[in-house]
Amino acid sequence: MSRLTFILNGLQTARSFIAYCVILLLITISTKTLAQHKGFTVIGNLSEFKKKFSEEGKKVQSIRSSFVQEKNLALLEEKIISNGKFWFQREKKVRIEYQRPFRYLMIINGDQILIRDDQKESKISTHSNKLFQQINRIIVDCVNGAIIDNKDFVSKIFQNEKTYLLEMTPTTKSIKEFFQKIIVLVNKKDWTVMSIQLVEPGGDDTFIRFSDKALNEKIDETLFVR
Amino acid sequence: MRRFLYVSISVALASCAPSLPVRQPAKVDVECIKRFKPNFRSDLYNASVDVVGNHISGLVLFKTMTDSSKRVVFTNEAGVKFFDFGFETNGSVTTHQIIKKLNKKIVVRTLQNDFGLVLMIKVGKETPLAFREDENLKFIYGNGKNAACIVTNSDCSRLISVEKGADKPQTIVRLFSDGLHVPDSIFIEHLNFNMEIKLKHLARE
Repeated sequence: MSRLTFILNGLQTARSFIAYCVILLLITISTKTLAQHKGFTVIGNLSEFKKKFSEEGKKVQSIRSSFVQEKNLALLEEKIISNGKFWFQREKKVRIEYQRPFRYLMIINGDQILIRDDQKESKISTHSNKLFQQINRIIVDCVNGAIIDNKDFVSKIFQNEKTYLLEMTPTTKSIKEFFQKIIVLVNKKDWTVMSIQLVEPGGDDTFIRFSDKALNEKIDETLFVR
Repeated sequence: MRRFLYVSISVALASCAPSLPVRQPAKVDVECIKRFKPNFRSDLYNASVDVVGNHISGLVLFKTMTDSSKRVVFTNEAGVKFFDFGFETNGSVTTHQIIKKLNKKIVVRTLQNDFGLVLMIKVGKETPLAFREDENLKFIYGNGKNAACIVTNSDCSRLISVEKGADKPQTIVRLFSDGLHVPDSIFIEHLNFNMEIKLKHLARE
Protein backbone atom coordinates (compact mmCIF):
# COMPACT_ATOMS: atom_id res chain seq x y z
CA MET A 1 0.00 0.00 0.00
CA SER A 2 2.66 2.36 1.03
CA ARG A 3 4.63 1.47 -2.13
CA LEU A 4 1.52 2.20 -4.26
CA THR A 5 1.03 5.52 -2.48
CA PHE A 6 4.66 6.29 -3.09
CA ILE A 7 4.35 5.48 -6.80
CA LEU A 8 1.08 7.44 -7.10
CA ASN A 9 2.61 10.34 -5.26
CA GLY A 10 5.61 10.06 -7.53
CA LEU A 11 3.42 10.05 -10.64
CA GLN A 12 1.46 12.99 -9.32
CA THR A 13 4.68 14.88 -8.63
CA ALA A 14 5.96 14.01 -12.10
CA ARG A 15 2.64 15.09 -13.65
CA SER A 16 2.70 18.33 -11.68
CA PHE A 17 6.26 18.89 -12.74
CA ILE A 18 5.38 18.29 -16.42
CA ALA A 19 2.33 20.57 -16.09
CA TYR A 20 4.53 23.19 -14.46
CA CYS A 21 7.05 22.89 -17.28
CA VAL A 22 4.34 23.18 -19.95
CA ILE A 23 2.85 26.27 -18.27
CA LEU A 24 6.29 27.79 -17.92
CA LEU A 25 7.02 27.05 -21.59
CA LEU A 26 3.71 28.59 -22.66
CA ILE A 27 4.36 31.67 -20.54
CA THR A 28 7.85 31.94 -22.02
CA ILE A 29 6.58 31.58 -25.58
CA SER A 30 3.71 34.04 -25.12
CA THR A 31 5.99 36.51 -23.34
CA LYS A 32 8.47 36.18 -26.18
CA THR A 33 5.77 36.77 -28.79
CA LEU A 34 4.48 39.74 -26.84
CA ALA A 35 7.94 41.11 -26.37
CA GLN A 36 8.61 40.68 -30.08
CA HIS A 37 5.58 42.57 -31.40
CA LYS A 38 3.10 43.44 -28.71
CA GLY A 39 -0.52 42.87 -29.70
CA PHE A 40 0.37 41.10 -32.95
CA THR A 41 -0.11 37.46 -33.91
CA VAL A 42 1.87 35.67 -36.55
CA ILE A 43 0.37 34.87 -39.97
CA GLY A 44 1.28 31.34 -40.97
CA ASN A 45 0.39 31.33 -44.65
CA LEU A 46 3.02 33.59 -46.12
CA SER A 47 2.41 32.86 -49.80
CA GLU A 48 -1.29 33.65 -49.47
CA PHE A 49 -0.44 36.96 -47.79
CA LYS A 50 2.12 37.81 -50.48
CA LYS A 51 -0.45 37.10 -53.20
CA LYS A 52 -3.04 39.30 -51.52
CA PHE A 53 -0.45 42.01 -50.80
CA SER A 54 0.59 42.05 -54.43
CA GLU A 55 -3.04 42.09 -55.69
CA GLU A 56 -4.15 44.84 -53.33
CA GLY A 57 -0.96 46.79 -53.87
CA LYS A 58 -1.67 46.97 -57.59
CA LYS A 59 -4.88 48.84 -56.86
CA VAL A 60 -2.74 51.69 -55.58
CA GLN A 61 -1.46 53.39 -58.72
CA SER A 62 -0.01 56.43 -56.99
CA ILE A 63 0.77 57.77 -53.51
CA ARG A 64 1.51 61.31 -52.39
CA SER A 65 2.49 61.63 -48.78
CA SER A 66 4.45 63.51 -46.14
CA PHE A 67 6.94 61.77 -43.91
CA VAL A 68 8.84 62.28 -40.69
CA GLN A 69 12.10 60.41 -40.19
CA GLU A 70 13.50 59.88 -36.71
CA LYS A 71 17.03 58.57 -36.36
CA ASN A 72 17.66 57.24 -32.86
CA LEU A 73 21.26 57.01 -31.75
CA ALA A 74 20.68 54.85 -28.69
CA LEU A 75 24.02 55.12 -26.90
CA LEU A 76 24.30 58.82 -27.56
CA GLU A 77 20.70 59.40 -26.45
CA GLU A 78 20.22 61.48 -29.57
CA LYS A 79 17.46 61.86 -32.12
CA ILE A 80 17.92 63.36 -35.55
CA ILE A 81 14.55 64.34 -36.93
CA SER A 82 13.96 65.23 -40.57
CA ASN A 83 10.89 65.49 -42.75
CA GLY A 84 9.82 65.78 -46.33
CA LYS A 85 7.53 64.63 -49.12
CA PHE A 86 7.12 61.36 -50.92
CA TRP A 87 5.59 60.44 -54.27
CA PHE A 88 5.11 57.01 -55.80
CA GLN A 89 3.78 56.14 -59.24
CA ARG A 90 3.35 52.50 -60.25
CA GLU A 91 5.39 50.70 -61.56
CA LYS A 92 8.77 52.05 -60.73
CA LYS A 93 8.66 55.78 -60.11
CA VAL A 94 9.53 57.19 -56.70
CA ARG A 95 10.49 60.63 -55.49
CA ILE A 96 11.70 61.16 -51.93
CA GLU A 97 12.39 64.76 -51.05
CA TYR A 98 13.87 65.64 -47.65
CA GLN A 99 12.99 69.24 -46.96
CA ARG A 100 14.03 69.95 -43.36
CA PRO A 101 16.49 70.47 -41.74
CA PHE A 102 18.43 69.61 -44.92
CA ARG A 103 17.54 69.24 -48.58
CA TYR A 104 18.12 65.93 -50.30
CA LEU A 105 16.33 64.48 -53.27
CA MET A 106 16.21 60.95 -54.60
CA ILE A 107 14.27 60.04 -57.73
CA ILE A 108 13.90 56.50 -58.99
CA ASN A 109 12.55 56.24 -62.49
CA GLY A 110 12.78 52.69 -63.78
CA ASP A 111 16.42 51.71 -63.72
CA GLN A 112 17.72 55.23 -63.22
CA ILE A 113 18.38 56.92 -59.90
CA LEU A 114 18.93 60.64 -59.56
CA ILE A 115 20.35 62.02 -56.34
CA ARG A 116 20.63 65.71 -55.61
CA ASP A 117 22.16 66.93 -52.38
CA ASP A 118 23.27 70.37 -51.28
CA GLN A 119 26.30 70.29 -53.56
CA LYS A 120 25.83 67.90 -56.43
CA GLU A 121 23.46 66.04 -58.69
CA SER A 122 24.34 62.49 -59.71
CA LYS A 123 22.65 60.01 -61.99
CA ILE A 124 23.21 56.36 -61.23
CA SER A 125 22.01 53.23 -62.94
CA THR A 126 20.52 50.64 -60.59
CA HIS A 127 22.54 48.08 -62.54
CA SER A 128 25.76 49.63 -61.24
CA ASN A 129 24.72 48.16 -57.85
CA LYS A 130 26.59 50.60 -55.70
CA LEU A 131 26.29 49.80 -52.02
CA PHE A 132 24.98 53.17 -50.84
CA GLN A 133 22.36 53.27 -53.56
CA GLN A 134 21.44 49.69 -52.68
CA ILE A 135 20.66 50.84 -49.14
CA ASN A 136 18.56 53.76 -50.34
CA ARG A 137 16.77 51.40 -52.71
CA ILE A 138 15.78 49.12 -49.82
CA ILE A 139 13.94 52.00 -48.19
CA VAL A 140 12.08 52.75 -51.41
CA ASP A 141 11.23 49.07 -51.88
CA CYS A 142 9.77 49.05 -48.37
CA VAL A 143 7.43 51.87 -49.34
CA ASN A 144 6.18 50.36 -52.57
CA GLY A 145 5.93 46.86 -51.11
CA ALA A 146 8.58 45.32 -53.38
CA ILE A 147 10.69 44.42 -50.36
CA ILE A 148 8.47 41.43 -49.59
CA ASP A 149 9.70 39.70 -52.75
CA ASN A 150 13.31 40.68 -52.18
CA LYS A 151 15.42 37.52 -52.03
CA ASP A 152 17.92 39.21 -49.72
CA PHE A 153 15.39 39.06 -46.87
CA VAL A 154 13.46 36.41 -44.96
CA SER A 155 10.04 37.71 -44.02
CA LYS A 156 7.65 37.02 -41.16
CA ILE A 157 4.19 38.54 -41.20
CA PHE A 158 2.17 39.47 -38.12
CA GLN A 159 -1.19 41.16 -37.78
CA ASN A 160 -3.49 42.91 -35.36
CA GLU A 161 -6.95 44.30 -35.95
CA LYS A 162 -5.91 47.19 -38.19
CA THR A 163 -2.36 46.52 -39.22
CA TYR A 164 -0.04 44.04 -40.88
CA LEU A 165 3.51 43.94 -39.60
CA LEU A 166 6.21 42.75 -42.00
CA GLU A 167 9.42 41.74 -40.26
CA MET A 168 12.21 41.49 -42.81
CA THR A 169 15.48 39.88 -41.73
CA PRO A 170 18.41 40.20 -44.15
CA THR A 171 20.16 37.06 -45.30
CA THR A 172 23.04 38.56 -47.26
CA LYS A 173 26.24 39.60 -45.51
CA SER A 174 26.40 43.04 -47.12
CA ILE A 175 22.91 44.02 -45.94
CA LYS A 176 23.30 42.39 -42.51
CA GLU A 177 26.12 44.82 -41.86
CA PHE A 178 23.63 47.69 -41.98
CA PHE A 179 20.34 46.21 -40.82
CA GLN A 180 19.49 43.63 -38.20
CA LYS A 181 15.89 43.76 -39.36
CA ILE A 182 13.39 46.01 -41.08
CA ILE A 183 9.86 46.37 -39.77
CA VAL A 184 7.18 47.66 -42.11
CA LEU A 185 3.66 48.47 -40.88
CA VAL A 186 0.94 48.18 -43.53
CA ASN A 187 -2.55 49.60 -43.14
CA LYS A 188 -5.14 46.82 -43.60
CA LYS A 189 -7.67 49.31 -44.93
CA ASP A 190 -5.78 50.51 -47.99
CA TRP A 191 -2.72 48.24 -47.99
CA THR A 192 -0.34 51.18 -47.92
CA VAL A 193 2.78 51.48 -45.79
CA MET A 194 2.29 53.40 -42.55
CA SER A 195 5.84 53.26 -41.23
CA ILE A 196 9.25 51.70 -41.73
CA GLN A 197 11.66 50.93 -38.92
CA LEU A 198 15.24 50.11 -39.89
CA VAL A 199 16.95 48.43 -36.95
CA GLU A 200 20.75 48.45 -37.00
CA PRO A 201 22.94 45.72 -35.46
CA GLY A 202 24.24 48.10 -32.75
CA GLY A 203 20.74 48.96 -31.47
CA ASP A 204 20.24 52.28 -33.27
CA ASP A 205 17.25 52.59 -35.52
CA THR A 206 15.59 54.84 -38.08
CA PHE A 207 11.84 55.24 -37.94
CA ILE A 208 10.04 56.72 -40.97
CA ARG A 209 6.36 57.54 -40.50
CA PHE A 210 4.09 58.50 -43.40
CA SER A 211 1.13 60.86 -43.05
CA ASP A 212 -1.33 62.90 -45.14
CA LYS A 213 -1.49 60.16 -47.74
CA ALA A 214 -3.38 60.77 -50.99
CA LEU A 215 -3.93 57.67 -53.11
CA ASN A 216 -4.45 57.36 -56.85
CA GLU A 217 -4.19 61.06 -57.56
CA LYS A 218 -2.67 62.20 -60.82
CA ILE A 219 0.99 63.01 -60.23
CA ASP A 220 2.90 65.40 -62.45
CA GLU A 221 5.36 63.27 -64.47
CA THR A 222 8.06 65.92 -64.26
CA LEU A 223 8.40 65.14 -60.54
CA PHE A 224 10.12 61.90 -61.57
CA VAL A 225 12.55 63.67 -63.88
CA ARG A 226 14.16 66.30 -61.66
CA MET B 1 84.83 73.33 -64.55
CA ARG B 2 83.95 70.65 -62.00
CA ARG B 3 83.61 73.35 -59.37
CA PHE B 4 81.32 75.36 -61.63
CA LEU B 5 79.14 72.27 -62.20
CA TYR B 6 78.93 71.58 -58.46
CA VAL B 7 77.91 75.18 -57.74
CA SER B 8 75.33 75.12 -60.57
CA ILE B 9 73.73 71.88 -59.34
CA SER B 10 73.67 73.16 -55.78
CA VAL B 11 71.99 76.38 -56.89
CA ALA B 12 69.51 74.42 -59.06
CA LEU B 13 68.66 72.03 -56.21
CA ALA B 14 68.27 74.89 -53.76
CA SER B 15 65.92 76.67 -56.11
CA CYS B 16 63.84 73.50 -56.64
CA ALA B 17 63.55 72.69 -52.93
CA PRO B 18 60.37 73.98 -51.30
CA SER B 19 61.14 77.17 -49.47
CA LEU B 20 60.33 76.82 -45.79
CA PRO B 21 58.51 79.75 -44.26
CA VAL B 22 60.51 82.14 -42.13
CA ARG B 23 59.68 81.18 -38.58
CA GLN B 24 60.70 82.97 -35.40
CA PRO B 25 59.83 81.95 -31.83
CA ALA B 26 57.09 84.24 -30.55
CA LYS B 27 56.59 85.54 -27.06
CA VAL B 28 52.86 85.25 -26.76
CA ASP B 29 50.34 83.85 -24.29
CA VAL B 30 49.50 80.47 -25.83
CA GLU B 31 46.24 80.42 -23.87
CA CYS B 32 44.84 82.89 -26.41
CA ILE B 33 43.94 80.06 -28.82
CA LYS B 34 41.56 78.42 -26.36
CA ARG B 35 38.77 80.77 -27.42
CA PHE B 36 38.84 79.31 -30.94
CA LYS B 37 38.11 75.76 -29.79
CA PRO B 38 34.56 74.89 -30.96
CA ASN B 39 32.20 74.28 -28.08
CA PHE B 40 30.15 71.45 -29.63
CA ARG B 41 27.18 70.34 -27.51
CA SER B 42 24.98 68.38 -29.86
CA ASP B 43 25.44 69.95 -33.26
CA LEU B 44 24.33 68.62 -36.60
CA TYR B 45 26.00 69.41 -39.93
CA ASN B 46 25.15 68.70 -43.53
CA ALA B 47 28.20 66.97 -44.98
CA SER B 48 29.59 66.80 -48.47
CA VAL B 49 32.62 64.61 -49.09
CA ASP B 50 34.57 64.48 -52.35
CA VAL B 51 37.30 61.86 -52.56
CA VAL B 52 39.19 61.30 -55.80
CA GLY B 53 36.19 61.91 -58.01
CA ASN B 54 33.64 60.21 -55.73
CA HIS B 55 30.97 62.21 -53.97
CA ILE B 56 29.12 61.26 -50.78
CA SER B 57 26.74 63.41 -48.79
CA GLY B 58 25.26 62.89 -45.36
CA LEU B 59 25.00 64.26 -41.86
CA VAL B 60 27.66 64.67 -39.19
CA LEU B 61 26.73 64.91 -35.54
CA PHE B 62 29.22 66.35 -33.03
CA LYS B 63 28.27 65.56 -29.46
CA THR B 64 29.95 66.29 -26.14
CA MET B 65 29.23 63.48 -23.68
CA THR B 66 28.72 63.90 -19.94
CA ASP B 67 32.35 62.91 -19.29
CA SER B 68 33.47 65.69 -21.70
CA SER B 69 34.58 63.21 -24.36
CA LYS B 70 33.37 63.96 -27.91
CA ARG B 71 31.59 61.78 -30.42
CA VAL B 72 31.54 62.30 -34.18
CA VAL B 73 28.90 60.30 -36.06
CA PHE B 74 28.41 60.27 -39.84
CA THR B 75 25.12 58.98 -41.27
CA ASN B 76 23.62 59.20 -44.72
CA GLU B 77 20.40 61.20 -45.17
CA ALA B 78 18.27 58.08 -44.76
CA GLY B 79 19.82 57.48 -41.35
CA VAL B 80 22.29 54.69 -42.11
CA LYS B 81 25.37 55.13 -39.93
CA PHE B 82 28.76 55.05 -41.70
CA PHE B 83 31.05 55.73 -38.76
CA ASP B 84 31.06 56.70 -35.10
CA PHE B 85 34.31 57.95 -33.52
CA GLY B 86 34.90 58.76 -29.87
CA PHE B 87 37.53 61.37 -28.91
CA GLU B 88 38.29 60.51 -25.30
CA THR B 89 39.39 62.94 -22.61
CA ASN B 90 42.79 61.19 -22.33
CA GLY B 91 43.53 62.02 -25.97
CA SER B 92 42.84 58.55 -27.39
CA VAL B 93 40.41 57.97 -30.25
CA THR B 94 37.96 55.06 -30.31
CA THR B 95 36.23 53.68 -33.38
CA HIS B 96 32.81 52.77 -32.01
CA GLN B 97 31.58 51.74 -35.43
CA ILE B 98 32.61 51.95 -39.07
CA ILE B 99 31.20 50.21 -42.13
CA LYS B 100 33.44 47.62 -43.78
CA LYS B 101 33.83 49.65 -46.95
CA LEU B 102 35.49 52.47 -44.98
CA ASN B 103 37.28 50.26 -42.48
CA LYS B 104 40.77 50.61 -43.93
CA LYS B 105 43.60 51.74 -41.68
CA ILE B 106 44.50 54.75 -43.82
CA VAL B 107 40.86 55.86 -44.18
CA VAL B 108 40.18 55.57 -40.44
CA ARG B 109 43.40 57.43 -39.59
CA THR B 110 42.65 60.19 -42.11
CA LEU B 111 39.08 60.70 -40.90
CA GLN B 112 40.10 60.65 -37.23
CA ASN B 113 42.90 63.15 -37.92
CA ASP B 114 40.53 65.43 -39.83
CA PHE B 115 37.86 65.48 -37.14
CA GLY B 116 40.54 65.73 -34.43
CA LEU B 117 41.70 68.96 -36.12
CA VAL B 118 38.12 70.27 -36.24
CA LEU B 119 37.66 69.49 -32.53
CA MET B 120 41.12 70.97 -31.78
CA ILE B 121 41.60 68.08 -29.36
CA LYS B 122 45.07 69.15 -28.26
CA VAL B 123 44.06 72.70 -27.36
CA GLY B 124 43.78 73.08 -23.59
CA LYS B 125 45.40 69.71 -22.98
CA GLU B 126 48.96 70.23 -24.20
CA THR B 127 51.15 73.32 -24.39
CA PRO B 128 52.08 74.33 -27.93
CA LEU B 129 55.19 76.11 -29.13
CA ALA B 130 54.40 79.54 -30.52
CA PHE B 131 56.07 81.00 -33.59
CA ARG B 132 55.69 84.06 -35.71
CA GLU B 133 55.51 83.03 -39.35
CA ASP B 134 55.17 85.69 -42.00
CA GLU B 135 52.33 87.89 -40.75
CA ASN B 136 50.74 85.21 -38.59
CA LEU B 137 51.18 83.32 -35.36
CA LYS B 138 51.54 79.55 -35.51
CA PHE B 139 50.94 77.39 -32.42
CA ILE B 140 52.46 73.96 -32.98
CA TYR B 141 51.64 70.73 -31.11
CA GLY B 142 54.14 67.95 -31.78
CA ASN B 143 56.49 67.98 -34.72
CA GLY B 144 56.97 66.83 -38.27
CA LYS B 145 54.19 65.90 -40.63
CA ASN B 146 51.88 64.76 -37.81
CA ALA B 147 52.05 68.04 -35.91
CA ALA B 148 48.79 69.90 -35.32
CA CYS B 149 49.01 73.66 -35.85
CA ILE B 150 46.69 76.49 -35.01
CA VAL B 151 47.29 79.50 -37.21
CA THR B 152 45.99 82.90 -36.10
CA ASN B 153 46.52 86.47 -37.17
CA SER B 154 49.39 88.51 -35.71
CA ASP B 155 47.69 89.37 -32.39
CA CYS B 156 45.85 86.05 -31.94
CA SER B 157 42.48 87.75 -32.28
CA ARG B 158 41.32 85.77 -35.34
CA LEU B 159 41.62 82.10 -36.25
CA ILE B 160 42.95 81.55 -39.75
CA SER B 161 43.22 77.77 -39.99
CA VAL B 162 43.98 74.52 -38.24
CA GLU B 163 46.60 72.45 -40.03
CA LYS B 164 48.30 69.07 -39.99
CA GLY B 165 52.04 69.21 -40.68
CA ALA B 166 54.46 71.60 -39.03
CA ASP B 167 56.45 72.72 -42.07
CA LYS B 168 54.41 71.79 -45.10
CA PRO B 169 50.69 71.51 -44.32
CA GLN B 170 49.09 68.27 -45.47
CA THR B 171 45.60 69.12 -44.30
CA ILE B 172 44.05 72.54 -43.82
CA VAL B 173 40.85 73.04 -41.83
CA ARG B 174 39.01 76.35 -42.00
CA LEU B 175 36.23 77.14 -39.58
CA PHE B 176 33.80 79.96 -40.27
CA SER B 177 31.70 81.28 -37.46
CA ASP B 178 28.44 83.15 -37.67
CA GLY B 179 28.10 84.19 -34.05
CA LEU B 180 27.22 80.65 -33.02
CA HIS B 181 28.92 78.68 -30.21
CA VAL B 182 30.25 76.46 -32.99
CA PRO B 183 31.39 77.06 -36.58
CA ASP B 184 28.69 77.71 -39.13
CA SER B 185 30.78 76.15 -41.92
CA ILE B 186 33.81 73.88 -41.86
CA PHE B 187 36.11 73.10 -44.79
CA ILE B 188 38.65 70.31 -44.62
CA GLU B 189 41.09 70.23 -47.51
CA HIS B 190 43.81 67.66 -48.12
CA LEU B 191 46.79 68.99 -50.01
CA ASN B 192 48.60 65.68 -50.60
CA PHE B 193 45.64 63.94 -52.24
CA ASN B 194 42.31 64.92 -53.70
CA MET B 195 39.89 64.97 -50.75
CA GLU B 196 37.62 67.69 -49.48
CA ILE B 197 35.00 67.67 -46.72
CA LYS B 198 32.50 70.50 -46.40
CA LEU B 199 30.22 70.80 -43.38
CA LYS B 200 27.33 73.22 -42.96
CA HIS B 201 25.62 73.71 -39.61
CA LEU B 202 21.95 72.71 -39.50
CA ALA B 203 19.30 74.26 -37.28
CA ARG B 204 17.52 71.35 -35.61
CA GLU B 205 13.81 71.12 -34.92
